[in-house]
Amino acid sequence: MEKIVLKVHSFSDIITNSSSEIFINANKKTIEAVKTLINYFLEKGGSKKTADDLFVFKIVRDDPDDHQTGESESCLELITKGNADQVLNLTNEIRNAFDIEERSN
Amino acid sequence: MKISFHSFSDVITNSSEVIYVTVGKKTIELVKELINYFLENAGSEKRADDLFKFSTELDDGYVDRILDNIDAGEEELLPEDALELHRKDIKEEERHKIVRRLVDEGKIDASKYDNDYGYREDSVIITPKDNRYSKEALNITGWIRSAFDLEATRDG
Repeated sequence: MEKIVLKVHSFSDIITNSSSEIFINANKKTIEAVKTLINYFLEKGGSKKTADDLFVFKIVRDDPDDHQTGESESCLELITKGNADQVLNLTNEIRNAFDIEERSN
Repeated sequence: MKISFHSFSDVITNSSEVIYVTVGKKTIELVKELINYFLENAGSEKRADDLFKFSTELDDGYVDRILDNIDAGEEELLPEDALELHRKDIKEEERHKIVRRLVDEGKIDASKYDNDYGYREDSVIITPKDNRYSKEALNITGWIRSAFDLEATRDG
């Protein structure tokens, strides 16, 4: 009988290459970290305003249908105070700016 | 015992998967746009380039591999660079800085150190131009790693 050897590593690759998806999830600690980051930039720019003066921070779950795996992602939105139509999805901005990749060994 | 593909994948990948935040060609420009967005909203006329220097920093793992090869005599350096790296009492931190500088100067090709089991995770460093804040450099790549939860999910 012919014996087929299937390496675990290869098997994992076969599965994950076809169906894996990476999520950037925001939570309460993310909001605090983002505020600290914005305040850092504003301070260095000589502004006396703070993140809380400028934005409302909101965590929203996106549409599960947008993802292959049917999961949804917790996105962080920054809504400009006084202009509710101006919304920045920070999760998308980070996804666009950085390459976020997964590697299984 | 029946193992479904999904469960089998979970068993393997839960123990060994790593998610990397890496720097692409567009990263610095997009980070600048984001900073400008915050400054504009605060009514500032200053821009990211007025306030900060932007640079990339080579992955620590690559620096270690390069140093190992230098110490083993497998990476050829100019005599003055080799002398500097092997100075008596030199600290490891300084050796890392020298290797990063040699890579920036094109004297060492970091891509030779790529391998198929890891990923190059360079960082974007933002340093205030104002000397008063020069020690408050920010590693934005490291910040993303700590501020957000990065998770991989699969259904196959």
